[in-house]
This record gives sequence, structure tokens and C-alpha cells, in this order.
Amino acid sequence: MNADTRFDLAKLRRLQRRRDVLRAQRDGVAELHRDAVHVGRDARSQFARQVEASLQVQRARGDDVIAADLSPEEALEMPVSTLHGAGINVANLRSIVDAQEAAAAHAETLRTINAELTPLAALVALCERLTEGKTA
Amino acid sequence: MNGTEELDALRQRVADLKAEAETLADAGRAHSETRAALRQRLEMLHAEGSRRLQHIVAATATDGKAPGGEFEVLTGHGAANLGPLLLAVFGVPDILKRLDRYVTALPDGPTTAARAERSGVLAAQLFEAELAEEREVSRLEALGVPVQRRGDADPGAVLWLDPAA
Repeated sequence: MNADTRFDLAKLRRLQRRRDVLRAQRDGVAELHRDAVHVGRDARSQFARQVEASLQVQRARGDDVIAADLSPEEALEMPVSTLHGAGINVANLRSIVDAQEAAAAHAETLRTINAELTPLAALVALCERLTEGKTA
Repeated sequence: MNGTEELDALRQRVADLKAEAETLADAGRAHSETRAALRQRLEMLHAEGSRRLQHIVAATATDGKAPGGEFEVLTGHGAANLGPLLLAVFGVPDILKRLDRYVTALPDGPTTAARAERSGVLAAQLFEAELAEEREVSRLEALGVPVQRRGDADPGAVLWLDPAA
């Protein structure tokens, strides 16, 4: 390669566009992932408060309906009537699971995007350095 | 061999050539060149030692007293470099012969000329291999096959425009 070498700048622009598309996708999915994590955390806090309230009632009554370390997943296995009786919001429980699944799916999508984006961005940076100030 | 396997094979070829270039860069000096460099260094020391010995002899012949400075290290009063004197007394071939076992103990490498020639061939082969990889990547992309780019690919090969095209 010498000073007169011409470069395929159209290809560089295609690579840059692909990088930009992937970056935008990554940012969008990262936001969805953050939202899902946030929703899941709120729902878990709400669930914890409901369990705590239910335990106080249980103690006052001398009941033994739910365990102090009840997890949302275990709660979903219980009969709806029991949950209602214990003051556990079933819809909130489902939103915990949904948010968890959504966060996992978004994390997987992010891994897939990054697997393509990381080497592509590195390559585009090399190409940009090589062609700095040059025209096709 | 499907498209991805072909690409894997081309990338393996690039990796192999890079590894060979790295091995070549890390290879030690050729024994022949080490011996030649040693000989040159010892001959310089020999010349210096001969001059000193002549000076001692001449001074002794003139006033009957040899200058003591040349042998200070022997009397423990200084740090004279005895290398030149040893070379002048024992001669370069004998000292070289004694040093040769240390040379032989080192890994033998290519000569400077052979290294430069092989390095040039490897660089050309590597560029051709990177071009072949890029052609395959472009072919797969044109077919709509998702291809992950290699972050350390040669940008010169990626953006290569064949002057003959």
C-alpha cells in the first residue's frame, strides 16, 4: 500500500452506518433492560411489604399461612385464595416474574448486539484512522 | 465446506501467519552473528590491551619502572578493566573459543538478512490472507448471512480497492 492507495470509502460508510444502528439498538435495549430491572425491584419491594404486613397479622392471630422467607416464585405456586387471604397481590407477583423474564431477555439481546458491535466498532475506528483526510 | 466454515478457515490462516510473524520477531539472534559481534568486540579490547602492554614495556625500557596503574586491580587498589589485558595476553581466538559455550547455550535464530526476507514474505502473505478473508466476509454479507467482524482486521485489506479493477 502506498500514498496513492485508494480506499473503498463507500464500504467504510456502510460499516459506520451498521455501527451506528447497532449502537442505537444497544442504547434502546439497555434502556428497556433498566426499566425491567426497575419495575422488578419495585414489585419485589411491594411484595416484601405485603409479606411483612401479612406476617404481622399472622402473628396477631397465631396463624401459620405464609413463611417469613416466602419468595415471589414460591408464592405463585400457592392457591390464589390463600394469597388473597394473606393480602398478597397476585398481579404484582406476576409483574415480578414478567419483569425478571423481560430483563433476562433484554440482557441476552444486549449480549448479542455487543458481540457484533464491539469488534465492528474497533474495526471502524481502525478504518477511520487509516483514511483520515483521504478521499476515494 | 459452507460459508462460515470457509471464513473460519481463512481466519485461522490469518491467525497462523500472525503467530509466525510474532515468533519470528521474538526469535533470538543467529549464532553466527552473535559470534561475529563478539569477535568484533574482543578485537577492539585486544587492540586496547596491546596498546597498554606496549606502553608498559616501553615505559619500563625507558626508566626501568613499569607504571603500576595497569595492574591496580591485582593489588586491590582500584577497578582497572582487565579485559583488554586478558585479550592481549591470551589472544582473541582462545577467548572466543572459551565464550562459545555461552553462545551455543542460546537459542539460534535467523540471520538479519533471513529475518528481513521472511518478515517481508510473511507480511505479503498476511495481507493476501486478510484480503481473502474480507472477500469472504463481503460475499456472506451480500447473501444476507450475519457475520461478526474481526476487530483487529487489517483496515487496509478491509477497504482495499483493487487498482486493476
